[in-house]
Amino acid sequence: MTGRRTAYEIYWEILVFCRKPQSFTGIINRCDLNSKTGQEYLTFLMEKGYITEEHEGDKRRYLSTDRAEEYISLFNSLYRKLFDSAPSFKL
Amino acid sequence: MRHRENPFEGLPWHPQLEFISGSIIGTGLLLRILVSCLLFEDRPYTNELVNATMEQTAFKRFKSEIGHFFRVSILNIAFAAILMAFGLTVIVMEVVSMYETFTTDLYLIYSPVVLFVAICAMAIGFSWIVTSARILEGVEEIQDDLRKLEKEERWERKPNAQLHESSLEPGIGDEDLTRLIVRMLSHYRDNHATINRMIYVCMLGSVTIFLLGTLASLEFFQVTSTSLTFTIGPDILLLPSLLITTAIAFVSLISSIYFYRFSKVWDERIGEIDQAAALLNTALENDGQ
Repeated sequence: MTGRRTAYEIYWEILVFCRKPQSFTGIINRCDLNSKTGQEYLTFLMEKGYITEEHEGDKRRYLSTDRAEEYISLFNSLYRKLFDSAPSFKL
Repeated sequence: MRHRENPFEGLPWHPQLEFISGSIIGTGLLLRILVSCLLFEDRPYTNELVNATMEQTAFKRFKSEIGHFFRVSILNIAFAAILMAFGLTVIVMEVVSMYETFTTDLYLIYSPVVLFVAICAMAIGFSWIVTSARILEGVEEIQDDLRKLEKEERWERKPNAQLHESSLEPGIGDEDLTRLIVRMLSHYRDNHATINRMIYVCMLGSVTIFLLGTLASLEFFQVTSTSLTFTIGPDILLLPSLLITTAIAFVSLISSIYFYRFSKVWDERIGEIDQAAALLNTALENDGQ
């Protein structure tokens, strides 16, 4: 996903993508981030306990925790809400 | 060579160029009809949108909005192409007239007003095509993904997701819809300034094509302190051309209004998202403790 996004949108994208274990490269490619910002986002999410790091041999994989589901669910409901009501005029 | 009397007296008039101009306008009209048909191709769906009711789901609303945005963008590209072609035709006519005027010692009465308006029309048309294409590209990608998801007909819920009831509707899951909404918001944020500019370019284009059509169709025009006199002609075929130009200008104005409305709605949504950011921040900070 490209374009101008808020940090919360990027967190959501990372958390949804990491439902299955993902590599760092996979995450930054999928979320269209550079490695520096990608690392910042991942560090934040790991500090907050939304993502855990797993080691598969030499490879590091990132996986969303159960806590992440609450954030994902809240995010989904807030964004859906935007389209729950019709615009105040007729298109 | 036939010379017609007009406010820019002395300019030679070329029936063949008049024919070319008429042909371009005719083609433009056909294009316009085609796009109008496209706009209303799925009539029942359009009716649903017009009579937008509360029971309409978020997915349907999103889909219809994207569809309308896409169509208005196509309409704009078609209109911009017509405007550019019209401008180019008049420029060619004016350049020929200018050459003949200056070679017959009539340059003292030559007025470059029409040429200036035509150059403006062509420039506006060109910038309009570029702008509309940029916006259309992003919307088209989102619409393609929307169609792709619908084709997949995914009824199954994802194992870890807490999904909304309406996600049971065919074609799209809760998170897929959210992803598309995020993409559209992101596309809108990227093109916010362009869309706003397009609203004004649309209006300007509408005024320009109206002026151009009117000026090209006038045989005589006079403004005094007490009166305004004009004569259309001399060729009766110019009248339909004038009417078509006016219609195109009107439809363009409508497009501009549509863009304004879309822009207003999406601005409101961006505002709502900004308000929701506080809630998301709280959720992130608290849940992680």
